[in-house]
Amino acid sequence: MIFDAIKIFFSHRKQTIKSIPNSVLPEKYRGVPEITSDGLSSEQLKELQQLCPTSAIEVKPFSLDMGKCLFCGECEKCFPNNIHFTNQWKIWAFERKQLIVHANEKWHAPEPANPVTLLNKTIRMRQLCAGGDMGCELELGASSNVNFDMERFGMSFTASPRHAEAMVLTGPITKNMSFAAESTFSAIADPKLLILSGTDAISGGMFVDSPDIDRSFLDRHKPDLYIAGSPAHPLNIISSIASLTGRTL
Amino acid sequence: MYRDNFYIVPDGVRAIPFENIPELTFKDFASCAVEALDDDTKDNVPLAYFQSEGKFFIVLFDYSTGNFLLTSSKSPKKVINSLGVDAYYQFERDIYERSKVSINNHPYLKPLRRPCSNNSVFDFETSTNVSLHEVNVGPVHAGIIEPGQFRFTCNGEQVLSVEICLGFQRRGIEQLIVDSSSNRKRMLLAEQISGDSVVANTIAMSNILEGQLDANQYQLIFHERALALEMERLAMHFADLAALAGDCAYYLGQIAIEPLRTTIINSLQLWCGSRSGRSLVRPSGSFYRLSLDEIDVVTNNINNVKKLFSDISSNLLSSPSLLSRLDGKCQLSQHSVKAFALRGTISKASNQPRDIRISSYSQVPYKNFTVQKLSKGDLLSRLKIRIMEVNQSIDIVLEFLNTIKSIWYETSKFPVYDSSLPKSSLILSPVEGFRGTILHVALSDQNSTLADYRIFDPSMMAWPVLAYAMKNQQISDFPVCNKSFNLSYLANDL
Repeated sequence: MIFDAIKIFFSHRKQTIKSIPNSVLPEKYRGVPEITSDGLSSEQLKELQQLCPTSAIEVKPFSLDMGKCLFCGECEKCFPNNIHFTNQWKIWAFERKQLIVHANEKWHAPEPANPVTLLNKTIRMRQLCAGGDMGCELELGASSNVNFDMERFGMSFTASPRHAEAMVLTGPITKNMSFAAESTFSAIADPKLLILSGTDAISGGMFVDSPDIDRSFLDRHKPDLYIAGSPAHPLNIISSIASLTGRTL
Repeated sequence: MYRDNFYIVPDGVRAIPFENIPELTFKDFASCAVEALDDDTKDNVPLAYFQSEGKFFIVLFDYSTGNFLLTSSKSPKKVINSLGVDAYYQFERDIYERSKVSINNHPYLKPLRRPCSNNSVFDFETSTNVSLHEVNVGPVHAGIIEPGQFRFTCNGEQVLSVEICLGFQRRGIEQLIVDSSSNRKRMLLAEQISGDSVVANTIAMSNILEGQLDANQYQLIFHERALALEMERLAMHFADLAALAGDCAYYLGQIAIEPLRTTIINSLQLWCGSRSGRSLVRPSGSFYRLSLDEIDVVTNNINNVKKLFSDISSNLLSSPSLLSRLDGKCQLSQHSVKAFALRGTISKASNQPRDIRISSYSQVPYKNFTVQKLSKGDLLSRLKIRIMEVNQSIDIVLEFLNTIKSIWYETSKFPVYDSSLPKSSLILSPVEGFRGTILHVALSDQNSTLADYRIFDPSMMAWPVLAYAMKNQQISDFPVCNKSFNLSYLANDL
């Protein structure tokens, strides 16, 4: 019995990703887009704008909002000369407007924040799902599995908000969860941080006009970190949270 | 004979004109709906019972022959009688919630989803017996999972009853699908119905939007979809097995199975750029094709997973502490699976094999496919059935990869988003997701526009059964019992 268990340990080997920042995702992965309006007539621009299911594309000036983007790649397939999703997976921001990609500019994730002194490089988080579609939740769970292993960087999820310094919110915030979101956040001791993960949480995504959504929670509390993606990749989750604690990963 | 009152849909047909569906009086409708379930020579399971445009529809699926049975009734009244059997109670709660049609003689007439209002309270049953105590769990749970509220009434550590209140995940997705201005938006909404069944839900919606395609012309696309569906099943079964092992404090199982899921979803990422299979399925075409190089990489990955999983699964099933933790707990008999009209993994573990992949509704042939089943229906059976399904899916995946390689060609078809639906029809689209048969139902009007859209997931039927299985069990068994069902909150609340 014990020998079988040891055999499994050896046959499975160590599978943890050694270097998070140097990880390269496959070519088809849709990360930070590069956009240009060159060669597009005003009608084509309008068509491109209307094609986007979440209205992430603005025409004047030509820009793409990664907080609204579903990274579905529909626009890239219809206008391959103007929009290209690179496999750059580092997509986060400390301010909402930093998530906007402008035409003919290369977008970079912001430099690490000034370390929040109370954190001392470790952070414990309480996750709250408020209408999230399980995509983001599975990826947050995957961040602490043996492959990504976020706990080696001093980050972990905790069950009680009393033990947490931050709340990670996923989902567009349904009406039925707006009360729970408020009370969970208020149960975390001050000073505390609010992290939004995924397009649904950042902008409401495709549900922004649904009558069953109530996003007033975000009018009362300002997020400290936006992790973009639909859903956000575990590499992105780990790097962005490290960035919030003043580190580069 | 009840069959005269139903329209029996011919093999593989999805769109049924309204004029073909019999319209009965509500009394006949109710009696034939119950009679159909009593027929022991068939395996009729209600997949949907709903009200749309002033009409009631019942959709049964006969798993023994693989045919849909349809019937309808016009009911002008604001009060109807309950059909009086467990299999329809959840649907009746849904009808009551949506249309405020009052239902007589229903044993538990509460809305299926908690009303969307900040000051609404869900009226939990309470006991006046002072020796009992109540335990509330949720809506916010301890782990990274979806919200839902459970109220246990316990005598010491023994659970006497559980009441489940859902609706916290309600986003109104069905209405958004109907209101969408384009089929592109509808496909993207289908991807967000449930993030763990992305491929299953997108296949179901594609089948509705694209109509009946020529099987020869689209053979490759159909195989790719079926391959992605099996990979999703593998990934989610691995997630469930890892979670179950973790809950029994068998951490070797948990840490050894988790990376197998990573391998599978990273293969999906290599294929379509998304770990959950988003943007992979599109109507009448596809953006992301599997190249020949990728086929080799994925085949290699799956072979590796197969080898590693056989070690760990035999270790899992020879661990005495794990077996004694799960054996005989939270048992579900074949009789109750039939009564509650369950399908998928839960029913397979209770000797009732129900799977739509063997019917004419699967677009690719599954060679030598038999639906797995176990007889005991306890926690251990629900773990074992997943192991059996994983082994089966691995073989199917390898077979499909071979088939795709042999029929592979380079040109890819651009998806078609402007196809129109057939006029005045009910369109059924079943897909075997990892939990069981998911059914999408679309209703079109005489202008071929989408009038209504409904999604029926196996979870909706199984939630009350979780409460039923917990009766007289230890409260400490709840987490592992809940994981063995692994029901979707989203697919209930939508």
